[in-house]
Amino acid sequence: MILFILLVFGLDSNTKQSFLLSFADSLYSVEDYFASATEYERFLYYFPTDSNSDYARLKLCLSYLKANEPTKAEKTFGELEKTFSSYSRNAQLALAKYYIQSNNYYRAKTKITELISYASSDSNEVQKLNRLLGRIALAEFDFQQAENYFTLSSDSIALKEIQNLKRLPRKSPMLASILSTILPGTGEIYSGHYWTGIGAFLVNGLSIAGIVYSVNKKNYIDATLIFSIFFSRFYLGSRQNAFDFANKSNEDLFRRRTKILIDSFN
Amino acid sequence: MTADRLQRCNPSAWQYLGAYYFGLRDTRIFDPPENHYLLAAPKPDLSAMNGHKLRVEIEAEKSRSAIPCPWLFEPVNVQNFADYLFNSHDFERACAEYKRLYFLSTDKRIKKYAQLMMGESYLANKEFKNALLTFSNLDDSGFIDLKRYNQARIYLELGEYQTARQTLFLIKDTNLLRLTQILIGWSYFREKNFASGAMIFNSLTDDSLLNNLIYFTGQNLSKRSRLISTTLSTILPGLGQIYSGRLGDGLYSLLTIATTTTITLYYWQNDQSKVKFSIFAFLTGLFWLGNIYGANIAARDFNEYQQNNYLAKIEEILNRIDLKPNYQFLLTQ
Repeated sequence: MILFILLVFGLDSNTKQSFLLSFADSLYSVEDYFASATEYERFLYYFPTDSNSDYARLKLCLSYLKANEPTKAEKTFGELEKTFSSYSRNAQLALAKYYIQSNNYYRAKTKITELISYASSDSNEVQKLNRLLGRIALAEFDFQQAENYFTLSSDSIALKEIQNLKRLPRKSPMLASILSTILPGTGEIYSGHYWTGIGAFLVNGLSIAGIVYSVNKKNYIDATLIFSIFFSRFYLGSRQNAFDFANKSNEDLFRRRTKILIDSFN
Repeated sequence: MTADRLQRCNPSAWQYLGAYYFGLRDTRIFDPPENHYLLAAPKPDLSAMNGHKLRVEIEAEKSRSAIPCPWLFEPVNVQNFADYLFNSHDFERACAEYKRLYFLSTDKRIKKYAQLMMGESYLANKEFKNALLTFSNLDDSGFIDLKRYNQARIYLELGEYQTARQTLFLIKDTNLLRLTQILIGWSYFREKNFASGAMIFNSLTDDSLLNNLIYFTGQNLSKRSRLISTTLSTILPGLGQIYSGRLGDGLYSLLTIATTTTITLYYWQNDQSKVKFSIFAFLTGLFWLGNIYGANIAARDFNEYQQNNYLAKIEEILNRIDLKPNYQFLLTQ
């Protein structure tokens, strides 16, 4: 395969530079990114000041990203930035997209805000970047922020979907916690975990019964033991569970609903 | 063991993070039980690998006809680029380039250089198995000591200190003498045999950096006896832990066992059926046994922690030394 590529791309050009670069490009096009990165490196090693060197640096950065080597990609991007090349913006955008894919939203946001701050008056480009920021806010379930970004990028479909998302019925963790404080188990049932709720109600009821029985028999040591070993644990645990379950139920719902919109961006 | 773990599960555990517990999971301390087995787990057997029929990594030379851009495949160019990759710490790609150099070159010495650097790249990339195979594939003639030295470096990384030393003692090449001595000393240090390690560096006093190592004899290393720790906890729960430098664990254990003992004594007098008495007596016994076990482990962990800290100080010095022999002589002649 590689030999074939060599023959096709190599023989029609005479210079070493174009031979190397076209070989690297062909490796990139057949998605062998590890090898293409090596070839771009080789090109840059032999011809660091060639007129195509910035192009090679951009492709090297992209190859590193595809080969999942972000540290090296960042290093290449740094070199590209030093040359004030127009390719550096492409590399930065690619890095931002890579960070979004790998859920490293903080880094992605930094890159995109930097890109926006240096962007020309080209409104189309700024809109695209804002759309990316909106996608990040969506993945972080920050719907208000996402709405702001989508307004800036005037993306009507996404805005409509955000309105729907904001209207989604969500469980209040506070209410779940209060419910379980008043009657253990009810908060869990409210959050959708019926069997855990019933279980919590039963174990709490049993330990209260035990305490009452011991107090009636004037057996205060037993009552204290049941209280400290069983009841306090079950009671506090039930409250905490109700709170966690409500949060988790919201997150699951958001994740399910935002997935469709986020997928449409990719 | 469970009883020991239950008692160690207390707020003071956070103090011991990094010393006796390693890692966090979901904002909690992550502490797998295998860290606290009384007997250490057996090491994987490497002898099987040594006996393994050496895999020839690179195919024999093939015809070099029909190369479209000969300049690109000139060994000297390939070698320069490979060295550049190696020096910029891109070891995986450097290794591939050295393989290319090995394939393209007709000079035996350059071939050897390529092979050695291939091994170095594997070693730097922490692919010890491949590195060992590459160095073992090395043609013996004239380079037997270099081969042994490199094999020993890998044995050291793999934790095979005995084998590493056995290999190192065979080396006679005077050029490698200094590095060999360093590796022998290092292997003793890694085995926590600090006195022997420091003694090795006594003969290397002309080096000001290595001169510091002769003081690391391990004499002033604080140590706790496992027997004393266990005995103390048998007499009074928690005392062994306090002796082993874990005040929080000790007090918590004392509190736990004191409470269960009090309840047991109370039921001994007030419970006719003796059911509750039996339950609490059992619990007390269990916790006490767990505490004794814990005291033993605590003394061991204390010693290990002290030794590891000591070793870290030593390795801070040793890591500054470049263990890679100079292979340039293969290129110049």
